[in-house]
Amino acid sequence: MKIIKICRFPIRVVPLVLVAMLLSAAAHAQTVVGSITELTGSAQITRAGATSPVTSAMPVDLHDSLTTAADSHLTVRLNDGSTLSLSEMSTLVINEQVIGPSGVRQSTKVGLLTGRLYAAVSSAISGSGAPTFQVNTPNAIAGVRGTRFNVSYASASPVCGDRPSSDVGVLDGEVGVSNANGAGGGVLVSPGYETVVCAGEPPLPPGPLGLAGDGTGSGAARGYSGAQPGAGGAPPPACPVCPACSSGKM
Amino acid sequence: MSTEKGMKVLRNAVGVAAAIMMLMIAMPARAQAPYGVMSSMSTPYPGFFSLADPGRFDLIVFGGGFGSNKYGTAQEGFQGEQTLTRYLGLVGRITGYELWEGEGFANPLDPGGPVSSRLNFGRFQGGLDFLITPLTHLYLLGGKDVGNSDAATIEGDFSTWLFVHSYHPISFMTSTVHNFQNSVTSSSIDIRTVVGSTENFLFTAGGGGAIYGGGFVSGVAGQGGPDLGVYYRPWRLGADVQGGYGSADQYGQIAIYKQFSWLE
Repeated sequence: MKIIKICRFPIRVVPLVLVAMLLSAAAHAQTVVGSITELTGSAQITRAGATSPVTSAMPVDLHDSLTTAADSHLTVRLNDGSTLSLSEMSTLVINEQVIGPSGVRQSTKVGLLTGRLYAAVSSAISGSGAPTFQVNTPNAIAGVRGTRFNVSYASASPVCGDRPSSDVGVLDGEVGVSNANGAGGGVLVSPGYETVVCAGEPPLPPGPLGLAGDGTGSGAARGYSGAQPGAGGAPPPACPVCPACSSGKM
Repeated sequence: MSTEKGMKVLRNAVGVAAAIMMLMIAMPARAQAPYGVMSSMSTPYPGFFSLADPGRFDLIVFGGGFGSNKYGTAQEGFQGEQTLTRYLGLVGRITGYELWEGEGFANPLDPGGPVSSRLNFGRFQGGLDFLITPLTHLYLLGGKDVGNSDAATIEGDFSTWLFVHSYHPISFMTSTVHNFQNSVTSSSIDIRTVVGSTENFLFTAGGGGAIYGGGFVSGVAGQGGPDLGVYYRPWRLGADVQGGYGSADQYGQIAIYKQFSWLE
């Protein structure tokens, strides 16, 4: 009988071990929030305090920090179907991702610590109407109600008098933007417009892309650098049928 | 209108334009919060003497035409600008002009039509762009014509945007050119607003025109009318059209431009 009991022990333990392994694997799977789908140049990933180079197709875990080098950019595809493209000299942290049983996003929060981020977000409205995708910068919160938008953070912006600023430009859908410290409420930015959040101040009213943003005047980021004399063609010569012209000289 | 009276009107017009320019320079200083003005009145232009970092080279390729009952022109060229500091750029512009004269002229693209003569000349200009705010430019350019005109010219261009943090910002532009050979001073002015902005397009509408005076121009001549503009962001391509009435009777003009930028 003793022999039999000894033999039964492992038989009872095996299912427990298997269940424990499955639980462990599931727990690990929940920390993988996406993967690198595109990498140009070089980037670093910081995970649990250790920094290593980013490679194509590598998984991205919750709380990973991604930093791109100069002339580099990368794209992360999250498990909720959203795509995040990080421009050069930028740092992104995945702070939270909760996906429901049916695979629908319940909440995703990412942080842009510096640089520029382009996000293509799949349907971002929860049943209650609240945004389920949020981008935080050091001084602003962009609650996403739409699908495609740009966020950038600069430690010194000319629009804000060389103070830190966040810029949110919307290409499609709508994005609610507020200061991270809650100053002055928020604004809702429509497609084709952008807003700037200066440190410690409420968001500026939205203005047209390229005119009202951090890149104002540079013509950068699908912007409009503003029509200028000469830009729209040099002015026509002032020569309304003049004698000087008729003689061959103006 | 006598020449003397005309010059008086022109002087008044220039005075009003100067006052408007001063006002416009002052207003965007608040509207655009330039370079730290809002946060620190003691340093409105921080790093004034520091080289722009990163530097940027902008290239604008443009073309257009002006047609009226009395004359027509076509112009095409490009303008390059290299940033020196955050507030100063070095500008060079080369423009080719074709000028058709003749009563009844209406089509600059049809030189075989009722045209008495055609003149061709090129204008080479160089100077500085003062970035008073990120969207307020003051260009001062000197130039020389070659071809059927060999005039020396001096040009001052001013442009700004007001109320950029709104759904309908207002653009104000003025350009004044003096031709030292025929002593004609011409000024164009344009005020427009953004009527719509989407992911890819920016639409503007407004009005503008030009006034001419001095030299052979008897009194003050000019024209004006409404204009429309469209800008396609992905290609950084824009087009403006204007039509109206003035000294040359009915007229219409179109300008097309494409922008390029390189960060250094």
